[in-house]
Amino acid sequence: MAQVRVEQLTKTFGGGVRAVEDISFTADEGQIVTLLGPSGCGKTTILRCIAGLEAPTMGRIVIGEKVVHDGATGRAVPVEERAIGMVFQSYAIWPHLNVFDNVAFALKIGGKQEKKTESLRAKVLEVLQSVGMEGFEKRYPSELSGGQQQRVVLARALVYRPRLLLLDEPLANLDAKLREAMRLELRDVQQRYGLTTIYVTHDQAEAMALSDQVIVLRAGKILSQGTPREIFTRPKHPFVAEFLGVSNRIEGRIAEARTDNLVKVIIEGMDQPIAVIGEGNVEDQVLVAIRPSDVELHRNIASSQENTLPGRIARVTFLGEELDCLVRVGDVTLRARDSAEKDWRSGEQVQVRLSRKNLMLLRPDFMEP
Amino acid sequence: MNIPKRAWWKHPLAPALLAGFLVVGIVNLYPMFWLIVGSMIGADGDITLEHYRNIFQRLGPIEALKNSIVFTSCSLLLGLAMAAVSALSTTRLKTPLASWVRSMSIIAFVNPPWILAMAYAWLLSPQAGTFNRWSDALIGVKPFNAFSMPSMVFVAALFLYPYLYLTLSAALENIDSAYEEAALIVGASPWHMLRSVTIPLVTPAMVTSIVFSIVLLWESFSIPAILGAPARIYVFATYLYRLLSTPPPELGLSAAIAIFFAVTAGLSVWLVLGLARRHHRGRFRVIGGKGHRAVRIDVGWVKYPLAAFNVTIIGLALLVPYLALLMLSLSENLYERFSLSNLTLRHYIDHLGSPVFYEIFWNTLQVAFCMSIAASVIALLVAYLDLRSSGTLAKLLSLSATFPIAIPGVAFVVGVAWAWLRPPLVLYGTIWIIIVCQISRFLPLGVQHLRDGLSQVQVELEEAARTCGAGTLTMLWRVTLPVIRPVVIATFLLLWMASMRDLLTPLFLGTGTPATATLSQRIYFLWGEGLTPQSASLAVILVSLMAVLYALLRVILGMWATKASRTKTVTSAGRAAIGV
Repeated sequence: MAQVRVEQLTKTFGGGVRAVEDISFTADEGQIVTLLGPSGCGKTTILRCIAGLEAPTMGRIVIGEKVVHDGATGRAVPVEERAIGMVFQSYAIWPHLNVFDNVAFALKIGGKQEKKTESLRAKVLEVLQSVGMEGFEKRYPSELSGGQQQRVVLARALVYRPRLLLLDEPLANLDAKLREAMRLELRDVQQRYGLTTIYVTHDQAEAMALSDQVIVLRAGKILSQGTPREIFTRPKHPFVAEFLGVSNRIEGRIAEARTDNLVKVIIEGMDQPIAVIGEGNVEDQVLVAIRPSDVELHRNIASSQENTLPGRIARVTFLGEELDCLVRVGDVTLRARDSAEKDWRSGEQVQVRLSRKNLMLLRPDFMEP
Repeated sequence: MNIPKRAWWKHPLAPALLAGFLVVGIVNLYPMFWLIVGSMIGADGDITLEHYRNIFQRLGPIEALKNSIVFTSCSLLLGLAMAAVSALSTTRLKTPLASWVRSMSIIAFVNPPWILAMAYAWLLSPQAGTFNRWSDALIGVKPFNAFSMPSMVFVAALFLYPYLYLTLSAALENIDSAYEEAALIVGASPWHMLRSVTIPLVTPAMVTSIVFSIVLLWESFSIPAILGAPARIYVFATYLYRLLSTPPPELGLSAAIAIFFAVTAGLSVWLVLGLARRHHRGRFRVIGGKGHRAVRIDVGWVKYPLAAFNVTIIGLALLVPYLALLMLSLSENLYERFSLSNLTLRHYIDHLGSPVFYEIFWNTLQVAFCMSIAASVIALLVAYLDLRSSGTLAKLLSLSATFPIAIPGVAFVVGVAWAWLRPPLVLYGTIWIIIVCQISRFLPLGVQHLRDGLSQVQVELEEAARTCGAGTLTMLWRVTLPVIRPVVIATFLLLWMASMRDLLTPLFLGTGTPATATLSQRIYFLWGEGLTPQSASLAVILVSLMAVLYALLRVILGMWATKASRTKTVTSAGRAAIGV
């Protein structure tokens, strides 16, 4: 168990493609840090650099007290000496070995590890039990389901008590139900072993459920970093907001900036300003964002209430438990999610309430050209 | 600031790379070097282009060039036409006996070409040949002449047929049938669908096999030697053999012709590839389907003539030649009408009773095992480095290991003869020259096969071993090798078969004494001396031995592979290859 520090990591592939640029972060002992981002954002490259499977072009990587890669001197600790456990997206479970031998592999090789069959057997069985795979020792990988293979590779990564666990989209190949169950189990096992873990995923729900810290990446750069709650409720970057499902974005202009961390924003085609928590200067162009599930639709409340705007329902899609509604407010179309019981009809006039606590002010200096 | 790159010689695989270059250099590049040098050394040891000038001043080489062009193009077209009819009818039309045709083609695929040629030399023999006698009895004419260009083309096309049929039908089966169904849905007739969707889709996949067929025909020796040479029809390979085997051997001229031969082969390959590329410039790629069953069109009564055609071709390519060979080997008197009194086991008993047979048999086995073990190991090394390293050196190694595939076998063998005749390494006159030469001739096959197999092994399997604390060597030994074991075994068997049936290498490099003879060479010599039944019986013995030993090896090695073949990633490739 150890702290992991990544300092100014840059990786350039042949042909000058910058996969990762100037990445720095720290994963404290026992924490799960998630690298979250769309495919091609460089998250797997970072993980592979930490593992030692890829040589960084620049930067320093420290695991515990040990500098495993130093760009300044070019010294690098080879993969096999880094004492890490890694789970690959494709599982990479060895097809020619049975479950027991897959897990025991790390204990059987090298002179330094013990080869005494009794203690080896005990260790393997213990870790298999901790992932719920006892009784499967003699099975071959082709005789296991996806979830079982997943458990075996996790056991294989845990058996030699690594200092650091690296998980590369470990749940991506499972179906939705199993994924949710495994998510909890993964967290349980990690807590039990108290392992520092770096977790790579493109699934925001996974990131929120598992992590102590989330790092959102795009195009090889860190966009945002924080606890799941911070990232989810207050994403500052428009891309992060969109990636986390904040699909309503309204362009506006700050009409009034108050000292108590509140601004009033005028939306295009509306004369009534809305109040948003945040800071800014008058006349600044800003983006105001809100999740569809946070857009409240009402039939009869007073339009004089704060942030309540008149609108008209343009289209309704029935999704089962919920309705997906497109609402015209001024010149803007908002997407709203509401309970199916409300039975909204297209063409209906509504009052749209955008609660102050749910509105996000996205920093204008991040805005795309 | 850039970190200093790790020097390549400190890489864990560097010793392997170095070893690879050393072996491939000696086996492949050294003979080519001497071939080029040899072609430019005059009678007095001076450097000259005289030999090249001679090629064009003599009649022989020009004649051989013309014959080679006619032989190659006609055989290719005929073989392709026959294979296309069979492949389309068995994969796309509802024809009876489709799976029988397929399994028979796999057997015919390992057929040595000289067996076909020997059988047809007898069957189509101008006066007393079986076919001529039958036709004489039926319609009163004797139209066939075994020793002519048409018969060479016919036999070569039959030889090529199984290969072309198997690749073409595999390509047809790999197309996602959704493409074809889409054509039918928009209203194309089945015939139009075949022409405008199916055939264009398989064309890119077929380019490789056509190129390979061209090289195969261009270097073809045994068919022109058995069917063409008696009528003084020489192609490159047979012309070279005549030059080298009639005293005084003109080594300089032979080397020059060999190079000319190799260059023309390269030229035709380049031409075909260029044409194909211009035609299809990245317009499409055959995309593997999800295993939907292909559309099979019902063609009504036409299916019967089609099935009859397929059965006839298989009969001519496989059953008839072997039957003829068996008959020959059992005949007391060659051209007598079939009768029980004309049957004898004398030739078999003679062979099995002579110590020379055992000496040659032992030689053949020694060559086959040494060669296929060595070539498998080298091919594994080369293929692994090629796939797992992004460096130019590894690509260069792979290129130097596989280039002999584009060099006609005879040309390469001439180079080998040049190289190993002289110090520092005199191998001429020993069996080792045959082994070394076969290694380089069959190495490309092994590399290709192993590269295909290895490319199906995920890199993560190896990376997982590294993260578990295994060094490079432990990883290779404990993970990589066990996983690809089925492919290695299949490659070994493939090379072993190729060696057992190879005629060219022992014929050109053997000294003629039993000490350097192999069974195939002995068969050819006996045939050449007119000892037809003796030769045929030895051929039957060789083919039976091959079949028995192959089956035995498959069982033994297969048992060893069963545990590894639990792999999901390689079984299909591995099993298919072992199956072939």
